[in-house]
Amino acid sequence: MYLLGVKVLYLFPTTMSEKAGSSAWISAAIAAGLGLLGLWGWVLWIGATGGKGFVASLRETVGRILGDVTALFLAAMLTALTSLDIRMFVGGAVIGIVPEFPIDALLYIAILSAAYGAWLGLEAVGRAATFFLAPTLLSLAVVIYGVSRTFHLSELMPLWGLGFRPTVLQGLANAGLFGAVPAVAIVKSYLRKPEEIPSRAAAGVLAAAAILIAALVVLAGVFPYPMSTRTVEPLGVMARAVTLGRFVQRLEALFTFTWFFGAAVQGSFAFMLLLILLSQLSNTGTYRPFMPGLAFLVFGIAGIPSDTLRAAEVLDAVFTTTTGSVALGIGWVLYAVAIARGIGRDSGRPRQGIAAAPKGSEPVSAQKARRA
Amino acid sequence: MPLPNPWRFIKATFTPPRGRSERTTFSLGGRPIHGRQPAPPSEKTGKDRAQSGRPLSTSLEKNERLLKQVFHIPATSDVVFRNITCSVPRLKVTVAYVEGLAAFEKVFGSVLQPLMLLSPLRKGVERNPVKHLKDALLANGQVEEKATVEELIESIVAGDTVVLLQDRDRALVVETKGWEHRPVSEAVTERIVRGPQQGFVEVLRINTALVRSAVRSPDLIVEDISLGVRAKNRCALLYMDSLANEKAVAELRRRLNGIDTSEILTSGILEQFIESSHSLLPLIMSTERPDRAARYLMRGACAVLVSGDPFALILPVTLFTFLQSPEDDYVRWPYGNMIRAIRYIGFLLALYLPGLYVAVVNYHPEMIPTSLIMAIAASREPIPFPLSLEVILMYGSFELIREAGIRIPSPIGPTIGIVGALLIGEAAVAASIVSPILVIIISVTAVASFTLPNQELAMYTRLVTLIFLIAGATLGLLGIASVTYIMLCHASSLKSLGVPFLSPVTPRRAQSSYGVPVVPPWQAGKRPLELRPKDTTRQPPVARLWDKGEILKPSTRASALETGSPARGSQEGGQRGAGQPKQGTQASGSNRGSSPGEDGRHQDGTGKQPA
Repeated sequence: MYLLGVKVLYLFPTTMSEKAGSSAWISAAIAAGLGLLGLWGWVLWIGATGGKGFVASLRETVGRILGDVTALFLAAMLTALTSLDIRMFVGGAVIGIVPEFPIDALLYIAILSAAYGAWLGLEAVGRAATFFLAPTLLSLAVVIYGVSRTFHLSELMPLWGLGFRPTVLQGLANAGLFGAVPAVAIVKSYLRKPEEIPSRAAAGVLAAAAILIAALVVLAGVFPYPMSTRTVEPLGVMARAVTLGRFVQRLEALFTFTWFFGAAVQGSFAFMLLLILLSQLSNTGTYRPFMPGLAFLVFGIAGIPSDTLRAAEVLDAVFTTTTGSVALGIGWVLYAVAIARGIGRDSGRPRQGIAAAPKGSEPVSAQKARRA
Repeated sequence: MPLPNPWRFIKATFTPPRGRSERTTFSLGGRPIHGRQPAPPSEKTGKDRAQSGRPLSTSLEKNERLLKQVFHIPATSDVVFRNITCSVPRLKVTVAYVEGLAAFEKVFGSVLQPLMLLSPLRKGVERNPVKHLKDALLANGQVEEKATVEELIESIVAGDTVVLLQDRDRALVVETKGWEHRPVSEAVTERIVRGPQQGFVEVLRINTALVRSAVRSPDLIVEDISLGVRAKNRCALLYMDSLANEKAVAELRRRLNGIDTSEILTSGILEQFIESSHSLLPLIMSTERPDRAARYLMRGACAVLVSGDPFALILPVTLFTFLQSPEDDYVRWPYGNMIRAIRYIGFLLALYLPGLYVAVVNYHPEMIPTSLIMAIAASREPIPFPLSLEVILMYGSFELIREAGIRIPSPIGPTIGIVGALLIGEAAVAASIVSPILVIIISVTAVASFTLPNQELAMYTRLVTLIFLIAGATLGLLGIASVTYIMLCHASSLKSLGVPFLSPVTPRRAQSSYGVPVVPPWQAGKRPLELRPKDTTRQPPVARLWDKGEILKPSTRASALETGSPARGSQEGGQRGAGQPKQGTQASGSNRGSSPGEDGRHQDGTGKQPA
């Protein structure tokens, strides 16, 4: 959940403020509401399809062809999201901490770190993320505290910014920010407690929305409109301005150190989603053969944008305003189809865990017995 | 010479061919998991096949000849074969033992004297001479009947005495172990200030006795397991039958029985045979302290003792287990938390300090206050080496001194400290090889690494510090962040006998009392839930009954014993049985020597409760 908030803090406040002004935070709240609505549809569909694998559930709901097309659409969306997110973070790292390094080398590091986490599995990434949550939130709090001297609540006026209609339209357009909520459906068959999906996913979306809204409030208070529309990386700028005392200043490198974890966890999780989709689409029992190709693909896409701003623009065009919004709505469509077709909950529970062994390999003991 | 085929390597990595043995997956949880499951108990290993054994012959001479052949008699001079005649029942007997391994007093007192001298005194003879000797003549606490040659060989090399009988295809093995060994002394590698000072020794039975003396419970199971095919060693698997998770015990037993190797002489080698991952992080803890082993047994863990090694292996464990010292629980809990916090800080300093120093000075000097960075720059001005090389040189020198200090003879041991200090502290700085601040950095790192209570974790820290150093020197804080992420993901994926390595922090188990902080002992109501013990409740919510004004009545104490709750009246220093005075219960504070009656009141009728 905090992944969304951290990612968005890099560049999206700029684009959101461009169209809504000081009410960008209200548009974020509207987007969050739509995100919750979209999540609701996916959760209802999860409840209707039971514990089956995601692709199997899709095929059962809308048929094999449409199901595979839907899965491929989500895979493509997630690939673009992963690649461009990593590009944005690495670009920010170049600006913030290692400006003399070639961007490709940093892409290697980020992608390799994320890929290794995915290689180990969903549980490993989830458990590691628990450790990184506290320092990430602490760093955000420190940044906010550090810029509190330059924050003016009056800059949030007028309340509706550029107007009620632009604010609402911006909120509707940015609903795609929460377009990654299908992830809960993709991993549904691998969770230990699937009955907790609705509450936990909703809590995640709400927490991400809270971070996003807080970031936009801070941005508007620190960089009033129209200055906020010219701030390429508001979080980085704010981080550079943090001064906690005579001997505690210029800590942007330390903040980027902690924010790397958020980017890496997000990257690992996104890799994991893609691997799940690919392994389920191809009906293999293992995901590891897909890892090198996927890593190269992500690296290739991440290297396309010429700079961080361009990467953010592409992501905004590809994900936030288009595919993300579509992904939100797909859940309701699937649920409606599932209800219409009478698909119930009595689907069997598949095996847990993503197998690392290839399908069909028999245990050694069985081989010995066969030879004997 | 054929060139290696890279495609075959890649294919084998990602799609193992059929027939290749794969690692089994093991989990303490109840859900079925994918992957190769542990083999059923009936599957024989090579060790099993070797131990099926040749049966004894009814001919005494043949058996004796066979054993002499195995032990290379007459080339071997310390294996003794003594032919005697037992009076009653009248039969020839051959006694075999290893001089030096078997205690001659036991051989004489338990075997030779009863058979040769005392047998006529015994009235009544069993029809079965083997049974008669076993039940009536051989005066020893442990006499077993064996039927195979391999069992006799194993017993002889273990220090027992074998008694071969005429016209019988059975032999008797009498426990006579008694070789010279180091006495029980202080634990060398785990020193504490307050608490028991005993340490394990090389004799297995003494070690199990030390654990038994700490865990005085009939539930403590001590299973003997044989290790090695050619040189048979013994190990003992210890666990609490009422606490340890059955799946964990079965899995550990399976691993110990499933080792097919020539010999296992030490616990360090055994550890590598039974660990499920070859990660740099240790998944099995070793301890030299019986009290520590006992504490972990009472939490539901298992212990393995190896004959000839003064270290016990404890598993399952977590990362936080390695950072705990027994002293944390022996002192008062605020002090325990303080020293544990110091230890955590020391662990982080030992891991990160050199790498962070290089990263910050090389790549992010803006983070350092101006006055300090000027001082660093001034001190580094005459140094000809880059900072990374300087740190590596210093760190390498310190590691050399540390290794030399372990092996240096005791009389000149303190000299190495002086030499090291002179070499590194004074001469290197004066010669402008290293900067003074780097001496401080490395010294702090070294001292921080010495706070780690466990040797395996200390070794891991020394190795990983280098990795962080290289990462920091290459990519600054970004490199350190990526290595941290990779290592934390790796640690998250590890399991020690089915227990996630980063428990109880993640996955979080609510109400687990054995997490990162030291919990007051009267509040430690739960055993570590990540170990999934059979009984998770250690004590009721109110353990200090006296503090709540409650008195445990005799009937309540009996029911507490039946339900397995700690018998409060039977613990040392806290006895409140009949006739035992209750300290400080009188208003005047004096001890009148009276015990409370059934209604909790004292004889004087004041019924005053302690404040």
